[in-house]
Amino acid sequence: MDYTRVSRRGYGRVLNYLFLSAVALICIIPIVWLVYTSFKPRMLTFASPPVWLKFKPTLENYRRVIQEKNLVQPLLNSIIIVTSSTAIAIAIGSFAAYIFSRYKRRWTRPALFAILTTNMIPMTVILLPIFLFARKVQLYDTRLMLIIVYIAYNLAFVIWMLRSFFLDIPAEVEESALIDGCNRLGVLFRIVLPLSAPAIAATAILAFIFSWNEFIIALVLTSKNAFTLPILATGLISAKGVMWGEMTATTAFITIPEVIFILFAQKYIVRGLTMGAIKG
Amino acid sequence: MITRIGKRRVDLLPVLMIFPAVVILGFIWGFPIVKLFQLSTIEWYLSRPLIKIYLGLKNFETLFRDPYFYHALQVTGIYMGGAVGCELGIGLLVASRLNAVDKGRLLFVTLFLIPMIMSPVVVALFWRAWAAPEFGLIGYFMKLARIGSFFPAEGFTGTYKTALPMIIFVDVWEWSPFMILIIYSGLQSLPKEPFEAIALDGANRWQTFRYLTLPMLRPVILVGLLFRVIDAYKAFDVIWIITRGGPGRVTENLSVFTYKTGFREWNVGYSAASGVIMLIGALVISIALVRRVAKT
Repeated sequence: MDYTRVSRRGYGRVLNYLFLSAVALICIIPIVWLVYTSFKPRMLTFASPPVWLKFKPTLENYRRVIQEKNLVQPLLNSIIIVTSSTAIAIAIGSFAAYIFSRYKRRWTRPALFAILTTNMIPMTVILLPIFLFARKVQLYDTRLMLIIVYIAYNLAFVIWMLRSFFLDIPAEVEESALIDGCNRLGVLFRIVLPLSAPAIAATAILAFIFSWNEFIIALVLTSKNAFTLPILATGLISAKGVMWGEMTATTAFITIPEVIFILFAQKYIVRGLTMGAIKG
Repeated sequence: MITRIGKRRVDLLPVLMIFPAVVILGFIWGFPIVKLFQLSTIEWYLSRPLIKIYLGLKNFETLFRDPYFYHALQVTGIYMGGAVGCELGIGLLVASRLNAVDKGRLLFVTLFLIPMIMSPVVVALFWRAWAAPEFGLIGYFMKLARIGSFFPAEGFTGTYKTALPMIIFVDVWEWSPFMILIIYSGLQSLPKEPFEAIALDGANRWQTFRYLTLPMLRPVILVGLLFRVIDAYKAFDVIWIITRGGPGRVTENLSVFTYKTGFREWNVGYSAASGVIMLIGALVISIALVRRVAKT
C-alpha cells in the first residue's frame, strides 16, 4: 500500500520537472537561436530545411553590422543615454523616496499615487506633445532629450522601489544620528544610502534594462544622430525585406549585457519586477 | 533648515529634496498632458504646419463616428482579455508546479526571467522571423509534425484570421513569466496550517486549490492583473514591429491607431483627441483596479 503511494509521488515529481524544464526551454529558445544564428554563414541563415550543425561559425554578420551599418554610433548612444539617465534618476529618486519613506503628511499619499499614475499613462499618448516641444526647442534627435525623457520614464519605478527598501530600514538606526544634530540629508548620505547599497544597485540595474530596451520614445524622438540599438535593429527591416543576418548580430549586442545582469542580480530583479507586490 | 512663512514654521528640507523629482515629472508627464488636451481641439497637419484651425470638440465627434477607432477599441479589448487571461492560467499552472518541487527552483526562476528581461524589440523580431512564411521555423516544425497544412502560406502574421492570435501569443510568451513569478512568491508566503487542516478534513487537490489556495492568493493575483491589464492596454512595440497594425488593420489597437494618426498621417489634432480618450481609459482602468487591490 505504502509502496504504491511513494512511487506515485515520485512519478509526479518527475512529471513536474519535465513540465518545468519544457517551460524553461520555451523561455530560452529565442535567445539561444538568435545568438546561434548570428554566427551562421549568411547563405545558411534561412536555408530550408534548416542547417543545424554542419556549418563553419563566422563573424561575417558582426563585421557587416559594425562596418556597413555603423553599429558603434547607436551602441555609444545607448550606453551614454542609458547610463546617464539611470544615474540621474537614481540620484533624484533616492531623495524623493527617502522623504516619502520618512514623512507622513497629508500630501504624501496622494503624491505617491500621482507618481504611480505616470506608469499607467500610455507613452504613445504623451509623445506627441513631447515631440512637438523637442522640435520647437531644437532638442529633437539629441542625446540630451532622450536622457531627460528616460529619467522621467523610470522615476516612478525608482521612487516606489527605493521607498520599499528604505521602509525596511528600522527608524531607531537613524534616530540617534538625528538627536546628535545630523539633519535628514546627512542621515540619508551617512546611514540610509550605505545601508541600502545592494538595493540601489538592483534598482539601477532594472532602470538600466528598461531604458536599454525602450523602443517607442527613441523611435519618435530620434532620427539620424541620437538613435539607439533597438532602433538600429528595427531599422534593418526595409521594403526590400529584412536583413536577418545583421539583425541577429544586433540583437545579440542588445541582449548579452542583460543576461549578464540577471545572473548577478537575479534575487533583486525578482523583487523589482514584482515591485514589492506581496508587501502591498 | 527651518524657515518662517508668515507665522508658521516650515521645514524646507523635505520640499527641497522632492523638488527635482517633481520638476522632471511635471515637465515630462504633467506639461504634455495639458498640452494634449489643447492639441485635441485643433485641426493641424504637420505636413502643412502653418495652418491651424480651432475646432472645439469636433475632433471627438469625428472620432466617435470613426469605424477604425471602434475597431481599434475592439482589438485592444480582445488583446487585453486574451493575453491576460492566458497569462493568468499559465501563471497559476506553472507557479503551482514550481512550488511543488524542492530542488532547482532558483534555476527555473532565473530562466523564467529571460523573456521579461529581453527587449520587446528583440522578442518581436525573433517571432517575426519564426512566424514568417517559407523560411519560418514554426512552419518547418509544423511540417515535421505533419500538421503543415495548418500553416498559412502568408505566415501566421500575414492572414486576417491568425495575425491577432499570433500577436497575443507573443505577449503571452513574454509576460506569462511575470504572472508565474508573482503567483509563485505569493504561494511561498502562504501559511502552512490551513493546508494541514483541510487535508485532515479529507479535501482532494482540486478542492484545496479551489477553496483554499485561490482565495488566499486573491490579493497577489489582483496585483499581477493590475500590472498586466495596464500593460496590455498600452501594447505597442511588438505589434508595430511584427505587423505595423496589419494585415489591413486587423492588429491595430488604440496605441497603434494613435501613433499612426499622429506620426504617419501627421494629423496632430485627431491623434491628440484619440490620445485624450486613451488617457481617460487608462485612468479609469487603473483607478478601478487599484481600488480593488486596496480593498483586499
